[in-house]
Amino acid sequence: MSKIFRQRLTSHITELTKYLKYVFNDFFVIALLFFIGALAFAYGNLLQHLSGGQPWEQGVILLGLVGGLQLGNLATLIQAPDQVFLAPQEFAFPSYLKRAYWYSYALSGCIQLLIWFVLLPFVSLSLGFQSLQLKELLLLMLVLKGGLLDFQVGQLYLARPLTTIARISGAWLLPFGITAVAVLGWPLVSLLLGCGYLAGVLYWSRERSVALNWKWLVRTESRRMQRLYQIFALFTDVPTLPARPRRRRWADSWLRWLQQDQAHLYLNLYFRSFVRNSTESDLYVRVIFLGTIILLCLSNQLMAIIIAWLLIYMTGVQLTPFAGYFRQNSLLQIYPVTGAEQAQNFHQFYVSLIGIEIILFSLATWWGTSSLWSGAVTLAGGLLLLFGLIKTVVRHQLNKNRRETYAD
Amino acid sequence: MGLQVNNLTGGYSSVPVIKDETFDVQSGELVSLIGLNGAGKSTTINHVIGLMTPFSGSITVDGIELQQNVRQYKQQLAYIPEMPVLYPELTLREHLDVTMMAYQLDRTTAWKRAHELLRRFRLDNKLDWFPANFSKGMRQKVMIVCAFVTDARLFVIDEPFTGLDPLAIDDLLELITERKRQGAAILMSTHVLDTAEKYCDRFILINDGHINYEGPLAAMQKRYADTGSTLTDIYLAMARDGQHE
Repeated sequence: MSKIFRQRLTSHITELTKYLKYVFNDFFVIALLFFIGALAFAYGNLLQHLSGGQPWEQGVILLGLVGGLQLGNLATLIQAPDQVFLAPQEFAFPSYLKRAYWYSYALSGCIQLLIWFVLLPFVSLSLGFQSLQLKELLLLMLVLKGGLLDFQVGQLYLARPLTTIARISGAWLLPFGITAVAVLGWPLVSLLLGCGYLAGVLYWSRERSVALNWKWLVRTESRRMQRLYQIFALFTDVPTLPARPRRRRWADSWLRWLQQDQAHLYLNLYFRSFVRNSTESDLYVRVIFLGTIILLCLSNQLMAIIIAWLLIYMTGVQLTPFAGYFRQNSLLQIYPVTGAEQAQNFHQFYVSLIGIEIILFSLATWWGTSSLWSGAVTLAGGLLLLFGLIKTVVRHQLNKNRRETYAD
Repeated sequence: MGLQVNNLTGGYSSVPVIKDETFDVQSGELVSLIGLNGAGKSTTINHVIGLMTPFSGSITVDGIELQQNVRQYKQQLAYIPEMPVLYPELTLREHLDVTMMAYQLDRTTAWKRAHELLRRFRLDNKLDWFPANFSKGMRQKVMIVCAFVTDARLFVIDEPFTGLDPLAIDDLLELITERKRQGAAILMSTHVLDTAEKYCDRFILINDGHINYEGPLAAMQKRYADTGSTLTDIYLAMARDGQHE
């Protein structure tokens, strides 16, 4: 089983490397450098104005540490067919999971180290921690992360998944309480409590280790991969994993406005699938929401306009592969609907969604920078971008789609 | 008129899988496509429904070729695939809505027919379910209901009995018989030979992309008298001969 994990890990890393090449393209690296520079500058300014010992500062540190602990989940690299093909080897699974645990721990340990390093000056100035206490804080983070990963391993062996309350208590409330003790000024006590948490989780998970819950195992790994792919999807085409649709009845009254005839068949399909497919719609809503908040807070006109355009471009690129969402459905190839009608319907769908984004971002830029001119430039540039996207990437996607789907 | 296939040769990339096939399915007729795995049944069906383009030969439905008029050709055709393909984000009700939109059906009449079909296949209380909540058999029933809600002139049915319960099989056969009586042409591929023998008017036996035999059971029994009297006996003997050749 260890060998299987090693093989899986090699192909997983190869896959990640392939996608990371797309993510860290020249434009993005330049944008990222600017962004990190701006953040570092703002952070430096903030540190200069820290008075120390303020409750809000403790709150920020606590949220930063506990939030950071949630980054980097258990990566089991399990695939759906494993529940059939590897089931006979279930007795040997602990060695597989052990490797998965240490791989995940190495990654998330690095993340904890990075978060600790970034928070270091803030903690020193605000809480007045000395070198030893800072090291205790780092150790606490590493111990708690180990406990959290063990908590995830333990859940793989539960016949019935934990209730939401139990999961939140184990993964959020306990680490929150323990970290709070450190932030309140007792890092050593907190570290001891952290060790107790780790020991408790280990005892709990060993007590329950009977049979693997394959359904849970496959589901959690599939969700983890889905989250990874969502990030990569902003930059390139990624494989789509099946996501469970959500009914979202509240949207029915809006969807009823769509014309229900042959010429609008695809418009109905695109909108309904988009609304109920949380992978696509959640990402869109998140970008719109966060983008609007950021733009409302930005007073620098140039920065606001560039960020708005960048987000519009990224959403546009992200939405484009949705044109081929139904390509695998042979029924649509049987239906008496033409490729031209599909393309027209996708344009309507695409323009509606990106159009909403352009309007919201233009208004937010106007409000944030208090400049009508900035809002107008965002709007004009956004519309130009939309036009450019339709004429390039969308056209390319639709042509590809048409070649693979239709005889007309 | 029904379906007319003339000298059809086709396959994947440049390799022909089916070779020079000629057959027809007349209106009001149920014709069964029979063959071993890999014999070319699904490839034939994929050509008929327009998923594949023939290398040579022609396919017409009620006298219309796909290349002549895509919309009209497809408007006359309904298909039930072997593996149900449903939209994960659409409820059963919305699947029917989409079918009605696609085939430009009159809503009132189509929904009346849909409700009858839903009742017949015991799906009438599951209109707001997502496909993810359906069993394999139930998904197949959704495909059947969506196909038979249309006014198609040709029904192409690929291995319809897989995963269906005995009651649903009986209901489907009854439905096929009704539509046949109303003048629809039905092409069905199946491995369930006993059922095919009872219900089909003619048989097309395919082996290695060639049509080995086409005709009614009585003629087949006369021609292969020494192999047995049932379709299963005759077909098994032919298939074994084909394997040994």
